[in-house]
Amino acid sequence: MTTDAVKQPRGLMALANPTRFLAFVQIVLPYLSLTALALLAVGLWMAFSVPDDYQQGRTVRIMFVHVPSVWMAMSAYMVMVSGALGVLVWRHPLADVAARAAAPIGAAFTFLGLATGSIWGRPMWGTWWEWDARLTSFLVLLIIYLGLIALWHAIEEPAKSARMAAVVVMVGALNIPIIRFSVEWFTTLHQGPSVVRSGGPALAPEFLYPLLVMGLAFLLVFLTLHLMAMRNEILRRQIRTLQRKAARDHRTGNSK
Amino acid sequence: MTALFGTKYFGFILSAYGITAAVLIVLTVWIFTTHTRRKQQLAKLEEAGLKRASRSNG
Amino acid sequence: MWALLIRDLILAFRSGGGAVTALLFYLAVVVAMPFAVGPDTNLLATIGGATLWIGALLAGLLGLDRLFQADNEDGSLDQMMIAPIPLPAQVFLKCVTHWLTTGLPLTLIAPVFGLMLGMDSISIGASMATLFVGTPAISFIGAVGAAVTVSLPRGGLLLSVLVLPLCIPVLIFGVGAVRASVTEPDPFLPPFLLVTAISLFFSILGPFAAAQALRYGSD
Repeated sequence: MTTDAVKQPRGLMALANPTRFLAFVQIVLPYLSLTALALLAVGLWMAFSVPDDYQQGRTVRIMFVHVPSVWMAMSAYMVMVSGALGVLVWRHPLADVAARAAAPIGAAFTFLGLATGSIWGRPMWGTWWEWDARLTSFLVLLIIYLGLIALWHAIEEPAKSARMAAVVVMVGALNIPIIRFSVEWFTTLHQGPSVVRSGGPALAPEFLYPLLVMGLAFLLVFLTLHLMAMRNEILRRQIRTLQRKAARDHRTGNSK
Repeated sequence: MTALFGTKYFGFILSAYGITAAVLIVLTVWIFTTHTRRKQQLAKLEEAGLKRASRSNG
Repeated sequence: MWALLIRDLILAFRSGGGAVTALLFYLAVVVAMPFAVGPDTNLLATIGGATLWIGALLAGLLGLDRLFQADNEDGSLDQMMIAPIPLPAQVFLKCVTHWLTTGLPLTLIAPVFGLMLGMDSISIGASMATLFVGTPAISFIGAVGAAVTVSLPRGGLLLSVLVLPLCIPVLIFGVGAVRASVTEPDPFLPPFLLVTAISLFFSILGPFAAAQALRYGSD
């Protein structure tokens, strides 16, 4: 995806770059989605051939959907942060499209992270939910996602909603490090970081590899869905532009 | 696939994977149908747009 | 600059506006808690810090949509933007006004409510301290939400949805500090300093982000 060296294009001119983007998606999407499905299948097979954990027994398998969901929930927010920077700083025409498309997907993964975490927590620690720092800030992430989606829908004009949402995304970005580091700052119910930490992963290989495969699979799924959603958003803007043009033509046509 | 069943945690594992599958499938279907719907809408609009342009030219 | 501050303060206190309403709302929340939870004084004392904090958060949210609305309606918002004083500075002052009329009174009246909830003096002291450093964060974060929603029809609702999640870290650490002041092994200082840090951080980021949002909104 290249950036135009010209000033930020407006109106129908904004379709110039998006058209190239749409062509790109057209080519890439089949391969991306098939690879994602294949990797997902491999990951699931690995997840189900995993031995029982010494402490957790069979339920350790929930980790293979819970952890990748959380990873994707946070990655989606980082995509929105990049989009926000693209809107505010670099004025990339597709930045807002990327951010806006990522929000519902991120919200879905956050919901999954909460749900699978809750289901995992019940047999593990005997509780569906705990109001500790990490779980609460992860729930906060979901609310931020939903608020952003509401904000995008509330402001009709695309450029204005892009900038407003970008500001809120940046302000809310503080939540991400809080989620990440709250398990280190507080002794809470949730276990400490075991994969991304100094000193290397703390998981045994037979659990680590399925997790990484599932993580990669989820990432490809996210990318597939995100590209499709970006495509949808571009279509929506094209429709909106044509509708407004049709309304104008209708008016001028009637004045003849 | 040894002994997936017959464990007392089967319900938990199933619902965890189940809800993951459900949400991802619903999300994919929603994005996909939105795409189809908008493509149709766009095609209709472009068709009408072309018609109008040719009318004002003719 | 002082003229702006004084003007906003007078407005806030005169129209029986922000300050008194916030205090009354705070009272309502603090009184509602014992009714809802039951008369168990131990329980009330335990959740006392949380009650004070939730009340402060909600009361602070109340005044936020009025932060820019009056100026937006009578056109002085545009005046503000072309004034020689930088817009972030003006927003900063507005936040200070908001805090002086909501956060600060709530902090000062916390001991009274703390006693009503049966909290001991250490908890009350800890609550006052965390409220004092934490309520500014609500004002600064809230300014961003207020700026973004200032011209939206049902803006107040969306404002709460946007601001509340961003304020929850302040709540977590603030209540954590209060709880730590009475629970032996938990340290008080780290969460307290974190709340202070969040407030300081947003005292800069908030006005700048809000000023930007105001400019974007006026195009």
